[in-house]
Amino acid sequence: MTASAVVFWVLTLIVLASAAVVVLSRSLINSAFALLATFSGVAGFYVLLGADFLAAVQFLVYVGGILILLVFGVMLTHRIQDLDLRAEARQLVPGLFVAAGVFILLAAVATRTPWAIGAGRLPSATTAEIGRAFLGKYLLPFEAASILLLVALIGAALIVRKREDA
Amino acid sequence: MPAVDLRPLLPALIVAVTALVVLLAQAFTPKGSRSPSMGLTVTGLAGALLLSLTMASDGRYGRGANTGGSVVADDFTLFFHVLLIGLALMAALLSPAYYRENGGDRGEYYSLMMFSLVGMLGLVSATEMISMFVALEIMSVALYALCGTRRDQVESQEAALKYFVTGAFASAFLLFGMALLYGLSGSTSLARVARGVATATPEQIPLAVLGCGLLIVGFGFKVASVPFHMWTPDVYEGAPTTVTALMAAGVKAASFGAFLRVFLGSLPTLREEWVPALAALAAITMVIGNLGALAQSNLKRMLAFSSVAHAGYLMTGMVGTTEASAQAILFYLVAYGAVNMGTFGLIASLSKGGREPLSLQDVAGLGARRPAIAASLTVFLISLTGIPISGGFVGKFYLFGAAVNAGYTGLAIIGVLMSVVSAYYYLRVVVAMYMREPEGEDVWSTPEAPGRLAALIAVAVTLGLGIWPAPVLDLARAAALSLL
Amino acid sequence: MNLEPTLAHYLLVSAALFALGLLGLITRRNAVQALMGVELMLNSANLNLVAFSRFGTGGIDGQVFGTFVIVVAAAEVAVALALVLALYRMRRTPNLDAATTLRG
Repeated sequence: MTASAVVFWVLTLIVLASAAVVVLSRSLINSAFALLATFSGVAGFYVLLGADFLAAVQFLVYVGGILILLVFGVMLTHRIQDLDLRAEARQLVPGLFVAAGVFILLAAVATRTPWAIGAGRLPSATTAEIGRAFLGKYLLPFEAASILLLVALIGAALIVRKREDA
Repeated sequence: MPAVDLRPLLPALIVAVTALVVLLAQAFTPKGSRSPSMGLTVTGLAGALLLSLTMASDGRYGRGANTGGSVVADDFTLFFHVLLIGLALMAALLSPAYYRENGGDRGEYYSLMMFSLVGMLGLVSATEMISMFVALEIMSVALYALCGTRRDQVESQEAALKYFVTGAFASAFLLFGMALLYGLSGSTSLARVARGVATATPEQIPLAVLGCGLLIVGFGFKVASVPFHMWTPDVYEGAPTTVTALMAAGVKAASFGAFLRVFLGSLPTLREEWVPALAALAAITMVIGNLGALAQSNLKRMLAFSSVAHAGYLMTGMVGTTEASAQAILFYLVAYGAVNMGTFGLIASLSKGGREPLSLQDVAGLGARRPAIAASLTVFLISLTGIPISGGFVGKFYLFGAAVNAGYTGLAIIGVLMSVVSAYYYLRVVVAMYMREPEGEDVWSTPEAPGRLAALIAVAVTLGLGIWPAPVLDLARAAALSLL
Repeated sequence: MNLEPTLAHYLLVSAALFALGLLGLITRRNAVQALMGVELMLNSANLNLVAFSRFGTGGIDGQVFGTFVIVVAAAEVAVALALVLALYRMRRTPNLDAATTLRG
């Protein structure tokens, strides 16, 4: 077993175990911290897959941004003295059925399909290549993404702003 | 490679810039003075509409101009652009009166509405999956926020959160399906995906089918088809009524646009696999939508189930996978969009002091008190039922015809039977308006000029499509031809 | 058994992640936790994209797509948390179906 194989299996263990905690834990805080491990594990996968730029983005945006927002969400919706951060579950059995069914479908296709393998086409450093794609082939969605962020900004501000004296 | 022509992007650009101008104008309007938002919005949208119309009548864009690879400006795109901008224009006309009565006539609202429109415009013109996904998200995120714009109402917030959770769910499925198709074809371009699917080996077919299936789930949520419809009644009821109008008319049209472009335009080689699935979904959607509507006493919830039922009618048209079926769907989207904008718009313009006419008691006797409004509502309701001289009748005729030609006679029969069932709950409203004595005082507002104009346009379109459908049918046919 | 990670291995991990996210989304009443489920699903789709980009014929496009997905996720989370906060301020619960106002 090579080093990369060892890393892969360790990351798999981390990602799946922490994702299970995220989903099944009854405490929101635990879920939020487990999510940290999941996001970091996925970033590890990106490194393993030669996607260095994306791994960095994953860390910066997911771990540094989205997770912090989620933790804020958890904190703000429960006053500190509310120690009982229980998240009740519902529809556990049908949920398990649907999730298991989807997994079996995806797994069957993943293992049975003869994938067209074209390895080695990726450059060793992907950042320049991605930058060229952003400002070339994908310029339009790149610009559109700025509209999306603006929409999120306006929308979030509009929703949480306190009601005016009306 | 032909020269890149960016003019087809101009309407979307105008809408986006207008959205920013409205936002800034809001900031510089002194407190207490009249808000310029509606005027600016209508001006910008009218400009974009004119530009789209000019391009649509310009023959050069028929089979699609080269706009750099992410989007295409063909007849299909331009047809949807005119429709979507027109619908947003009507929603903007209806908004100021509604928001004055319900609080919060603010620039951000118009701005978000226009950004959502930008997303819709992108969604129907995208020929590449990244652009399609980003456009879909622009449309959706703006609408999540719009649903929550009645900040003093718990229903509005609940609706927004429910819409978000189901919408995010749909996006995740759509994205996973796109990822699988990317894995199969090695490209994000729909044309390359089409080639990849067409040349797939028999062992790769399950992968393509799974990708398709995930996309159907994603689009199923967006167009509100059963079994992905459970959010619809709550969200339609809780959202501000003008936003509901935009959701029912605009989002459905834009989502069907992308649905058609992906499935009819890019995945026709897999039709053996997805047509039966779609036919089954269409059948249960029509049945559950109509039966659900029967049980509703709240007008907005009734119309929500009716929107589910109409997703079923539209999907019935899709099983044909021919240009005639795309034509029928495009035509019906125009008729359905105008009717929904009109119905929700009238409910919104009658609202007073935070209340709207939502029950049969509320509309009882409207025929005597407000003859013009009752007559308009009657036109819309007979079009929803599919009674002749309305656009809905012609549309359903073509939709079910497309299904029959594709050999799905049973599906067409279900559609006709369910339309008969729907007559009960639609015409119940008409009966209440004309046959019942009004109860209590007349507490509703009188629609203002902009709202009356929007309703008038909706009535004109509905009757026009019913009496003289040929021009729009021709346009829809040209659009369908450019897709296939 | 071959322990060297291949494309299929990554796809299996991603499938498991997707299923877990789906499970979370279906079974959790708490909006924040449902949101976490969505994030897991988006991460799993991203893992797919990046794996296809590395092993498949896709080239850099998969990674570009992945970057866009992260941007989209950030935008969604911002709006969703605003909604959660606004609802919580009124109702003092972040639960999705503690709904008394809207009949489900």
